[in-house]
Amino acid sequence: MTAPVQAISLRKGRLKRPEMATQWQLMWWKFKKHHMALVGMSLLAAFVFSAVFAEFLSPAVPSERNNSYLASGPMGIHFFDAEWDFHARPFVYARTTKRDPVTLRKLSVVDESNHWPIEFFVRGSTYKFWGLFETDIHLFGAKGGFIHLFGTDTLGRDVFTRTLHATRVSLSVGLAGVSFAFILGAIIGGIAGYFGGMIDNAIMRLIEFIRSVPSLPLWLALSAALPREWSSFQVYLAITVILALIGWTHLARTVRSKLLALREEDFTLAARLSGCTDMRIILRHLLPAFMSYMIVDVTIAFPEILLAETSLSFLGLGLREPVESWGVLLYAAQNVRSIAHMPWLLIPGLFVVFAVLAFNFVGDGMRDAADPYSK
Amino acid sequence: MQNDVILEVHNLHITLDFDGEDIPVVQGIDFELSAGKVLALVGESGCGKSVTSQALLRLLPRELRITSGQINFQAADGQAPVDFVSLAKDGKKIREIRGNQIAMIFQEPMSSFSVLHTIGNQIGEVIRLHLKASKAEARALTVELLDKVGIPDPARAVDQYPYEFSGGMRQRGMIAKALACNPSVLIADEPTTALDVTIQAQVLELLRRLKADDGMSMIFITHDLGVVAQIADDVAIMYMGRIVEKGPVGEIFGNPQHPYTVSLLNAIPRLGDLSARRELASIRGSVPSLFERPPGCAFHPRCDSFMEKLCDAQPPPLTRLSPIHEVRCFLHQAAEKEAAL
Amino acid sequence: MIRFVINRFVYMVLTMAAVSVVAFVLIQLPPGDFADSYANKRQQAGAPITAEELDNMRHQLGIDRPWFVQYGKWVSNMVLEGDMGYSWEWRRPVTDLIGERLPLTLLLAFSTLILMYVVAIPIGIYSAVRQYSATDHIFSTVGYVGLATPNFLLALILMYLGQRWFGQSVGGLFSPEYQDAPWSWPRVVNLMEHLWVPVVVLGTAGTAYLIRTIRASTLDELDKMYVMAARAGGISPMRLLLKYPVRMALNPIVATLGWRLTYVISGAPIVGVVMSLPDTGPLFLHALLNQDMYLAGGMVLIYCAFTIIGTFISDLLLVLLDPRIRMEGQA
Repeated sequence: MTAPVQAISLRKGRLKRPEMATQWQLMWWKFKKHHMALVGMSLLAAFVFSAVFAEFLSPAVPSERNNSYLASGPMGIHFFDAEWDFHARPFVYARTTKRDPVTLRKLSVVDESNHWPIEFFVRGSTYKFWGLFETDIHLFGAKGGFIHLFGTDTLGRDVFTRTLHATRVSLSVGLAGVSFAFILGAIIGGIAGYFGGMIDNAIMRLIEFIRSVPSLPLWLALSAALPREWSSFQVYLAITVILALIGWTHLARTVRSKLLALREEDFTLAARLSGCTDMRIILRHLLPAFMSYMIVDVTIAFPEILLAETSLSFLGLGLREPVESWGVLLYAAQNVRSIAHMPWLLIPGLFVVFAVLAFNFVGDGMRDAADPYSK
Repeated sequence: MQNDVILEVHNLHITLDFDGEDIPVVQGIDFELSAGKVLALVGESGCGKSVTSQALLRLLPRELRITSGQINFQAADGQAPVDFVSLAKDGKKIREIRGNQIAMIFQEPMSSFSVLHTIGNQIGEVIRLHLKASKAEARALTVELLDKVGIPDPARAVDQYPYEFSGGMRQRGMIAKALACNPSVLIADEPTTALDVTIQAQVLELLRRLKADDGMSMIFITHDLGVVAQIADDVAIMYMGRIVEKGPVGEIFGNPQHPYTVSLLNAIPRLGDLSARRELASIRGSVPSLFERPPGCAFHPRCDSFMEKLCDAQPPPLTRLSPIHEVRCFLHQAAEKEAAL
Repeated sequence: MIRFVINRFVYMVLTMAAVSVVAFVLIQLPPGDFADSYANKRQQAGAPITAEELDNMRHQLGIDRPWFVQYGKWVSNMVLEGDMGYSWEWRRPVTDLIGERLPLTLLLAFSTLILMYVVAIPIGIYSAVRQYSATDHIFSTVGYVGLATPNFLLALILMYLGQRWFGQSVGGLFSPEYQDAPWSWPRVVNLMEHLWVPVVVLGTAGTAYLIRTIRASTLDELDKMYVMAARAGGISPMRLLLKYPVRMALNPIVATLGWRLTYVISGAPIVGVVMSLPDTGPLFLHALLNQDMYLAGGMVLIYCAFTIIGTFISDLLLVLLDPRIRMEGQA
């Protein structure tokens, strides 16, 4: 290596006292340098928070129908009223219903003379928090009326509430899918990399084959083949398995190539010479050595699975109501007519975009961090 | 500039941009290259010798920057010298000198050629650029050059790809490319390091012949004192971005004054070491990282003659032991003072 | 080189065979068979069929035979007679149905592929050369968002904006007056006017990804020793960039052409559905939703076939680009 190259790798590694730091410390130092990765991390934390406390954070329950506010748009939060007077407590304008004289449809009309102030820790519809205990406390609500931050759908259900609940489902599908893919990938890649030879060759061919096939049509076809009479929970499980079945290949490749490289290392030989079993060598010596790469791959696989689930559900081939994911919510926005009348139904889509963005940012940061000497 | 000096480096400083922080890499080095001579820059890896060689033609990667100093080049007798530092980095003027009047060969022959283009294409490119030759002329000249550097069947080799060449052949190809426009200075950055010992000897022999036959001046970067003894006229020993000792090769090898030079020379294994059961000498410790440059004389933590509150307080000044021998060490400053008293 | 090409060709044929098995498994996957669903429909229509009729029908269709016999028949019909089975939903041969709509899907896929490369190559190289410049940052931001937006969402947003600003639907590939008209020059123009929307939708994420790849590989090459060696020869920066790093970076781009095609083909059905294009997308979705499995399996097979052929072609192109592969087996 020439001196400048060395100097640059030092620079990029940011190693002031490398010998003092553990591998994880080094990675964290490097990760911290990545500002977008930190932004992504915070965004993800916010998503996880709203997924965990969805019932509490939303002003309604998902199935609740507001018959006096059907298919109507987001309600703005105001500090100033129509006369430009300031209110310390934010409010939403009251709504009244009228009937359209021609179509006889119910219409919601803004009533600027009446305010519904926003209050915190209000009592609303009862729900079972985490299915454990019953309560009716919601983080916020509008006193004297209702509040729909993201508007309502044709049945008068609160889009904000449903989106928060869908966050939970979407993230959990992603998590389950990724975990399953992770296990599959680690086992299959591990077998290929550790034993090598014929087994490795066969597995690599299989991976190459799966990757050369367009994934979405295959996913679609597999989900379409699910029995119609399955319950929504069974479908949920089946969908995660389907997503994982196609998503494991990348992980398996990483595991395999790292293993192939590592098993030639001296410490592997040393461990073998001192009588360690294969299993022990894999678990104690090899796994920690490439754990970081696997974490990176998981971060990269997550948004892929998230997008796939959203697409499947959007087409009506993935999750189905009453299970609600972002894709299921978007299913309602499938045709131009409904988007033209109710563009707010696309809001869950923005959640998808932000979640994927956040994962990609974190993934980029992790990729850099995983290899302290890389660029 | 002196009459026979062709390239002169004066007080050159190079820093590394470390996320906005400036880390000094080369700290004010001076040397002159005389026409027809070979100057060797010697030091352990990381001492800044490669960076210096790349700086000479303004080839430094983005992260490294010349902060001050001069690189004066005397193109031909009677012409005014050009200061490369004052030229635009990839400007027309410096480009006309690169590969034409000053050529360079690199440490890793394996990666110094693009794998997707033929050897002939890559050498011919330089010829066509500087000599304004046609494609056919360039090709003919390339064949001639390949023959000159000792590549067998040059007419075939010219259409071959680098991966069809062995390491030694590639380095010969690299040298052929460097010789293409008959430059007056050749900068060789560890040209033999990546090669097998026998190939090393052949390449060295080739370079020596070029010096003898064509009177080419060379700056030879290496960490191998054995190679220095074979080819160099003058030696400059570098340690952490400074030249610590400089002089003609006989003087430095016969009468080393800096403790670092002494240790380097002691570390060369000699025939008979084994039978005499002498242990291989090595230098205590290792080169510190750029971020932990020791204060004062950078070598003091590894030096056997370390003097407290002197060596670690400030960098030693240059002491001229004789008109041809310079050293940067407090030992000699003290001796000089005593002599003066 | 010949060996390499034969090698890849054999691999392509084997992959096709494997895909056909997968497609056949998909066809067989849903519980029950056509006879069952036919019986169901008759039942609902108030004219149930007898068990004997059912068995007869099964025998006629060959679905009482073991699976490998059925698979063999399916494949041999397909290869020998171009017969991919019968769609019970449409009551027409699958080959006819796909044949009608496939050209538009291919047009869409290839237009997208071309757009992706035409846009991504210059931008990727520019971003690499001007690393960390304002333009680089803008492109990478746009790229991040493009990569994170699902195709169908982009389509929905474009359609909404089209509706909102131009008061017209941007879905479909023809204006109503050309919908069923015979091919003519104005109809082609009309197609082009509509085609760019789905092409943009389908190509955005892929373009963003390509820009990133090209930028990274160009940067990688710029750092290499041979670039410095070429600079030391006095080559001008622009010429050097185009002759070496860009040329070198093209290799992985060409090598992954097959994957890019896979990617585009993979996204095509959903865009077709959302924008209600008269291509294979809606046909495919409809078949899936109705478990019209011969049609669905045939579609999967066709989609896979195109990506496999695409991969083969990109392998061949790579041979032309990389002397190391070209020379293989000749030395």
